[in-house]
Amino acid sequence: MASDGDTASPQDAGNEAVGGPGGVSAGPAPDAATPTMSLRKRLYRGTSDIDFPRMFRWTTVVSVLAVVASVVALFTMGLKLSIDFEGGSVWEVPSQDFSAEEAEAVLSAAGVPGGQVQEAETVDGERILRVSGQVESVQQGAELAVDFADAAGLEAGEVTVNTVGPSWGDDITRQARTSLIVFMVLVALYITWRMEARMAVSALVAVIHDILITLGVYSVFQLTITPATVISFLTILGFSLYDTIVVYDRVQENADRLLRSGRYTYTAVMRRSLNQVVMRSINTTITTILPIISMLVVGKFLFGQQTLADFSLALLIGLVLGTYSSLFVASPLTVALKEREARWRDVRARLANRGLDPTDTAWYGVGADAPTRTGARGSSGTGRSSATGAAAVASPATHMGHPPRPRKKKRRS
Amino acid sequence: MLVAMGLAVVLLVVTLAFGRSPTLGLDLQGGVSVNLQPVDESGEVLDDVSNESLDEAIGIIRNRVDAVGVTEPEVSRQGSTITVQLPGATDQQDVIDLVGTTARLRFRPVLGLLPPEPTEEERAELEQTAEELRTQLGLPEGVSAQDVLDEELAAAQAALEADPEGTSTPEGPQNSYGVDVQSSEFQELAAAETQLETQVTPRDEIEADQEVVLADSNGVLYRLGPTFSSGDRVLEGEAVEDATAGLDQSGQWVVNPVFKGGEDGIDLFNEAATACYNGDPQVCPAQQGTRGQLAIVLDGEVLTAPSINEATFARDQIQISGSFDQESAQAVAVALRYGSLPLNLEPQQAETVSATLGEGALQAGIIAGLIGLVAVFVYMFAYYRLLAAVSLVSLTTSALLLWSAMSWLGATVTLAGVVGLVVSIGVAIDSSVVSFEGIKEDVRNGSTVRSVAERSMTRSYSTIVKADTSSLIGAAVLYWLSVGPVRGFAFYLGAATLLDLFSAYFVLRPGVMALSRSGRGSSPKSLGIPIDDLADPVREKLTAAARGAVKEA
Repeated sequence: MASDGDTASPQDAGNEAVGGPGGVSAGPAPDAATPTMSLRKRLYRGTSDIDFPRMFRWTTVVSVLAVVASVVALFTMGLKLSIDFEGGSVWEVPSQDFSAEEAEAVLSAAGVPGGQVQEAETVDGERILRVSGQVESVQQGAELAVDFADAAGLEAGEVTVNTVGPSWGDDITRQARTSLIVFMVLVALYITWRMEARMAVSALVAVIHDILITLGVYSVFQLTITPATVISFLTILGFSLYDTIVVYDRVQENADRLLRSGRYTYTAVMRRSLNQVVMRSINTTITTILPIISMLVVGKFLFGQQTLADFSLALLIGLVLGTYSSLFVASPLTVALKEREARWRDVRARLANRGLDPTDTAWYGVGADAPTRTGARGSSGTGRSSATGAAAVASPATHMGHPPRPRKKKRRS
Repeated sequence: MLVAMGLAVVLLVVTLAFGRSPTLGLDLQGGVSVNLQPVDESGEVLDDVSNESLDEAIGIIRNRVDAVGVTEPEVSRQGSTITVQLPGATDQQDVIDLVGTTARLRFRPVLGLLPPEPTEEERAELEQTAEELRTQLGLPEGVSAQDVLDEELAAAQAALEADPEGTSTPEGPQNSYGVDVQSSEFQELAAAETQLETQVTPRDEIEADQEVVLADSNGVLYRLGPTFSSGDRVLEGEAVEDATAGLDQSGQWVVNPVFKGGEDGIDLFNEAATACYNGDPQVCPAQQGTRGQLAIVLDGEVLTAPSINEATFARDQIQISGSFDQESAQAVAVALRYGSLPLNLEPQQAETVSATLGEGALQAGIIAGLIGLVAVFVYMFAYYRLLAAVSLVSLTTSALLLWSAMSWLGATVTLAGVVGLVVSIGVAIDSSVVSFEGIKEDVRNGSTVRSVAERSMTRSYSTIVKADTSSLIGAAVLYWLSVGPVRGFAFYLGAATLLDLFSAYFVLRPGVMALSRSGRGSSPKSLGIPIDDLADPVREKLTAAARGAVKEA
């Protein structure tokens, strides 16, 4: 069975026709509310009813596995840090014939250990020899630049050098850590103030999830972490929260109203809300990703600008993770926390007392113009409810007088 | 909306008219950047340095950099980190030597006052006068008055040796050029040459134990002796304990230095004072009309050169008076205090960016931004049709305002900043997407575009505010807690988010509302809102409303 309502199979459609309320309400517009409408079309029309709660089960497994794998990778493989964190010098000698051996000779003459020589090319096809080494001070780095220039027969200023003292790297790391903590605390306070504490907790868990997995990716692929990576990374946290807050805003609005109807579990409210905002999330992600991909491609392949590539790669990884975690980490966690709340437990208990199935999360609400109990159990709720969604939206006018239609209330906003 | 756009355009025009534009960061135009931190003798970074010392250190570095004549140098500080950025510089070694040397306060006896260093114009004039005089005197090219005098002196010396009694004095000029050294022309030439040669000792040639020529802040030149010393004790800033500026009984601004006790402190100072008081010709000669002067010099600049009017002082009863105003008195006091505990600044990070690499980065950033922008709008127009146009207008307004803000705030555009800007395109479009999806939802629920636009946009705006606030918190935290590139990035992300809030309210919202009242704009189809699957009555209602609008229009 399609777990996410991706396709409404004919079988599901059949169920819908038999027991679903959609069969009734869709009556006036049977041609429009075709149950077999593709997910893409339904998303575009905002009539999708993807069974997110069902997806949560396996996405949680995926997330947990990914986080565990990341942590393991971090501890076993570690991170590859650029010299900005470790301290040291990188010299770039633009010369056609300056060899690695000559470079190493310069280093060893100065007694500098840990020399690494790498050949690179600029955009214009000029050869550059990139040498790195552990110097004792910034002065030594600068002096060696002069030595390299002499050895390669260049002017002193032609050899560029980037040196980072050992304590500077610690500083950057400390700053990043402090920023991260302060940021998380402030955002938690903000979400608690504008929304509520449970959501803040979930949002933070989602952020930590993003951080761990991104670090994991950098660890597994042994990508070099530069200050640019760290910056991008901190930005991504902002993005991730943007999406999360858009979801929360809708959930809260829906929850306030639907709690009173007593017909919806929090899970159902979440499912409904996610379906309402999913297109928003997809579109905001696409519009943010396009410039970043452009930066990655232009920076990396057209201009050979490593820093731009560093920035955009981290942004890309983080952005995808951020969108995912808004939908599949922050949301299920919020659901789990909220379902424990007394008022939502009551709703659940009442539904069960009335002999209804509280695990049915299709958005029309359990027991409203809902199917008979057997109907509800018999159909998965997936395909049927998708179709129902489409149908109901299609016919708001015809249902104006129908008392328990939550959709109508929502329109009031 | 028109007001907001008008404002953006006017601001841009004003900005351009004033010739303002954002400065390019070092990583985009090439140059050398050095980050320095104060360290103790063992090289450990100090965290508890006073702001006054750091500011004084920055002032000193600025003076040094200005003296070298780099265009648009930037010396800034955050916390105890001092960042020096010299665009266009290529030799990191030179820069580190320039900014990394510890500034010392020294007490040097004044040997004499010199005429001020000639300006470019005066120099040209002097050179011309000298040339004319040389022609008059018949001196060949490349022979200076000093050469003639040397020859004359040598001849006199030789004559003296040959005839120790000095019975016959040689007549006439004794030099091979036949120039009369007593003539007024020759005297004038010699004076002009002396003036031409007058120059302040270059920084890298200043030695503590050598004579130097240094200027004070008014450009007065002093010929100064070596730093006062006695045995191996040298009178430097460390002898000072404290210094304050205040008013004396007659209401004049004075500076009161307090010396440390002991032989390295007040005793050494008193030795200097005695020498100057007595006008010791070897050490501290009396000057015209006054006793000997002891100059206080910080990092190659004479702060003040008081004449010493007593032979000895009690360590906390010293008063320097003169033509101080409040500002200059305080500046001298600060310099003395700084000199008592000079900051050892150690470069912690230094980077050279070649100009070509910088330019490449800027180009890549701009091209990436433009391609990204076009891609985003192709998508937006395909998806939201006419609504995307409003979004485009809104983004343009933001961009214009951002350009003006950047120009006036004197912000520096770094590579990280460019990335921040490219990324903020996404942030701005996010707001449009949130708003447009809101309208789409409402219209599909059966409201006409026109009736629902305002309500829907207002509701979306509240969501945008909440979401943008989290971005702003992030930007602010990054800005306050970090240095260097991270800061630049945070600044642009924060600025762009603020402007997004502005544009979303003043351009996007009214723009969509105006669109909804227009003919085409009220039709769901032209806004990318599908209604083909809706029930017939609803669909008819929506299209009828749009048709009605077309008719009215």
